[in-house]
Amino acid sequence: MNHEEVGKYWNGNAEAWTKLSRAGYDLYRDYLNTPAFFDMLPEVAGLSGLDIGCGEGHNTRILADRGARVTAIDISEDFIRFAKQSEEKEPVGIDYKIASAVDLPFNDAEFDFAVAFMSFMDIPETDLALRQAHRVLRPNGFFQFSIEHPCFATPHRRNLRNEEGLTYAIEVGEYFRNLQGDVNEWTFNSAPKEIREKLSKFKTPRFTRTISQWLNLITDTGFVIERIEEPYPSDKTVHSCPDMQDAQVVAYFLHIRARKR
Amino acid sequence: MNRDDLNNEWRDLAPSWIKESREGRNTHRSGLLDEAMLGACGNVEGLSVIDCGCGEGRFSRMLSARGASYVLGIDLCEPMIEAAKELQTERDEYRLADAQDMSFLEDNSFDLAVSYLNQCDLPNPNENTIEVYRILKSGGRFIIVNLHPMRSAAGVWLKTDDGVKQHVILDNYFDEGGRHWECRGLPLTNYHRSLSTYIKGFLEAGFSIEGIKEPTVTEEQLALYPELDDELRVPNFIIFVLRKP
Repeated sequence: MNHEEVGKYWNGNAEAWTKLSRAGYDLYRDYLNTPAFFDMLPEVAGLSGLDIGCGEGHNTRILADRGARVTAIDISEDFIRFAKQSEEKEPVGIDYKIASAVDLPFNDAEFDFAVAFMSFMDIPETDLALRQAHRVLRPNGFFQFSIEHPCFATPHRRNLRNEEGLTYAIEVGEYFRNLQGDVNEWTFNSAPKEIREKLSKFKTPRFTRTISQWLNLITDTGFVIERIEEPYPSDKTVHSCPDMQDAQVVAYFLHIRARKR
Repeated sequence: MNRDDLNNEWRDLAPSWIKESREGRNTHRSGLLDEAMLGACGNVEGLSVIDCGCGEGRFSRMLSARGASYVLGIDLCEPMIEAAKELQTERDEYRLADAQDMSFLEDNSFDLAVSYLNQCDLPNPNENTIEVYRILKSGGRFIIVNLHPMRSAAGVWLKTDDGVKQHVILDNYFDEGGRHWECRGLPLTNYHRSLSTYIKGFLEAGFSIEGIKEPTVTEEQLALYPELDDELRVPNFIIFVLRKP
């Protein structure tokens, strides 16, 4: 499966994803991943940045709020349509384009920084996407991205739950098997049943890489790894959003920042 | 656990450890890690090497036999260092010392440093990382093999009815600290730290990350050591290749 086929799946997810995430049902994003990502992000005010795989643009708008001049791409035309609609409604100066991460329609060294929120693990051509991100950055520019944690989002993966439904451990296996597009069907479970039932489930092709494959690809591309974080929710967060409890058991996400030398 | 308690565990373990090591019966090392570590070290001819937590000196001798001009092995466990000295040649040397405090060694004095399953035994591995950075020459490398953070947190194998290891059950990843095991019938403490904790320590010390390896068994290794089959499911070890700029 290549990036164009993957793009078709995500285009099919765009409407339900946009409705549910804008209604506040993407809990891991809102309570954990996005706040942690922005805590780690260097100052971007006045810099030109590229958001790769922007989806409906939720995090892109936060970047613009922080004062960056933002360009954003996604391979899905429907996601870009939803993103542009919110830009028209409430302009923050974001330039959205339909484009693939493996073929960025930009000049070399055009951006001060690039980001990718939970999109790079969905791209089969991992090496090409990293090379493109590297190419469009100016020397000393940075690329910060988040992915599902390669050590725990393994091909075999199951949450073990107690009688109250709380996750007490995670079962992992088949770590070295690189999934090459096995399609998962799922949705945001926190959405009420009557809302979920009206919308189609997401179909997401999965591509797994080991942690060593990821980090070696980054350094082989010419990046220098600068910072790595494995965010997890605080007890306070879990208290206000009990569904986040399982993300305290193992690391669900990996955040990486690398610099072009 | 304080440093003395940890040291006592290793002192008690030393006789059986040394015997087993010299008979080539340490499966994870002989069957899996030696080849991966030698590969990560690359050509060591003419290099001066420090081996942090050398134990009875097996890997130090391997590096010396491959042409390193000088190997200094240090360990805090007296019987291990005594055993290492018994097999010492003119190119390798052993010293009772703490890998977290190598103040007796000069700055910028080694080409290569290795840590062969030693950082997971240290209460403060970052002190070792900082010390190694100090004593390495500019451009020198630090090769570390450690327990994989996927496996050191906790974790038992889920087995099929006939005992084949299937998946690992993980918990307490963010709860860093001592884990108490039994090794050859004796208590042994290792430390679990998350991947990001280790990597932050390396970067903050000033190292750049050149590469990471997660060794898993080849067909040939598996034919010799069938008990390593679980390495194909989830890795037990991780190797970091670091460089002092």
